[in-house]
Amino acid sequence: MMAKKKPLILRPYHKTRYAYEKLRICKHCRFFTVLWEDRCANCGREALIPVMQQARIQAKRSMQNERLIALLITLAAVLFSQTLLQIILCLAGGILLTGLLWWFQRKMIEPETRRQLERLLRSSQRRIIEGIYTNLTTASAAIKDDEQLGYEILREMATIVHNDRIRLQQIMLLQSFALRKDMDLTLEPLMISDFEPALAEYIGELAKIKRELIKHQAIRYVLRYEREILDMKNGVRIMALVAGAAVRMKTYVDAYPDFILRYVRHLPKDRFLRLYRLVRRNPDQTWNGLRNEVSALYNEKYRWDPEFQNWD
Amino acid sequence: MIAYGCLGILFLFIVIKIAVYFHRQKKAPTPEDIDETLLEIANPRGDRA
Repeated sequence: MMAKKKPLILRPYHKTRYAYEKLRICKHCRFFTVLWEDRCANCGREALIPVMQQARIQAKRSMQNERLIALLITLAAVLFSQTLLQIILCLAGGILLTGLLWWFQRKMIEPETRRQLERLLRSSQRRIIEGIYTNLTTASAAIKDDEQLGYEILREMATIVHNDRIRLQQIMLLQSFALRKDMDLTLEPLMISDFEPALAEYIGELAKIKRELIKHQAIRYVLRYEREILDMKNGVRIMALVAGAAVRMKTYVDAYPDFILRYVRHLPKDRFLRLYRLVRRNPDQTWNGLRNEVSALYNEKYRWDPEFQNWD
Repeated sequence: MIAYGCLGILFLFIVIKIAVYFHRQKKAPTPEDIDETLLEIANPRGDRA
């Protein structure tokens, strides 16, 4: 018996431009985490801040120390002054030079922060790996109790940790959920190199509910493992769904006409209509016999269908 | 005279610091470099796929 898929609402995934924007550090114990928890899993304090913020703090602290040194030298100059004129000159000169340093430091805060962040990461390699392992343990525990939470944790971790094990776990969990079009789903980050029936099923599912996610990488995957997919219980359906998703753009028809030709007779009506329109709009293209097959199928099944009459 | 000496030291200190900042700015890592560093740490060789 097939296990019933769970309906759920996934927490929105906050995409960041850079992976390091997901990493946070505890100001108190220097524990690293990729997850969104409020309290540090190591010391229990609410002291987690993004690593970039920590790097900025370090950069500002180092700059502050330099300004302090400059002010101390100014103070020494004032103390060693013998006349009022010297005091005024030393004070004015010291303040002016410190001001110049401060103005320059403000201009340099961004590159200095990046430099500090690079240093922080390189000097904390062991702690970063320990943090990732702790996060993975949290994910494993969450999967047992709450699969949705487990998936969300793995999804966050996958930003930084790139391996097939995490991808596969995500695919397996996704396969236990009732997927919907409005869900924040991805495909390319989950692609693995070896054949995995769950991934093939997931691609088929996406080809049905979120066709825009089916791109070259997914099409090439199903083509590479076509034989294995066809051995699956609903293999032909998966292949036909992917072919149906591929006909949404001429680029894919240009690139994979043979593939689409093999499954054209399995396409649902709406996908075949899409392909039919594409073929009619491109009278010069034969696409290795796909054009003839579409014409033949049209004559056999859809010749009298009103939807096929207004193809513009 | 010592006071002016201190002021001279301060001047040198500021000049050196500004030169160092200029030098570091040229060599500062880009966000892409930092990303690469983090991914290298998080995905040690052999564990990566």
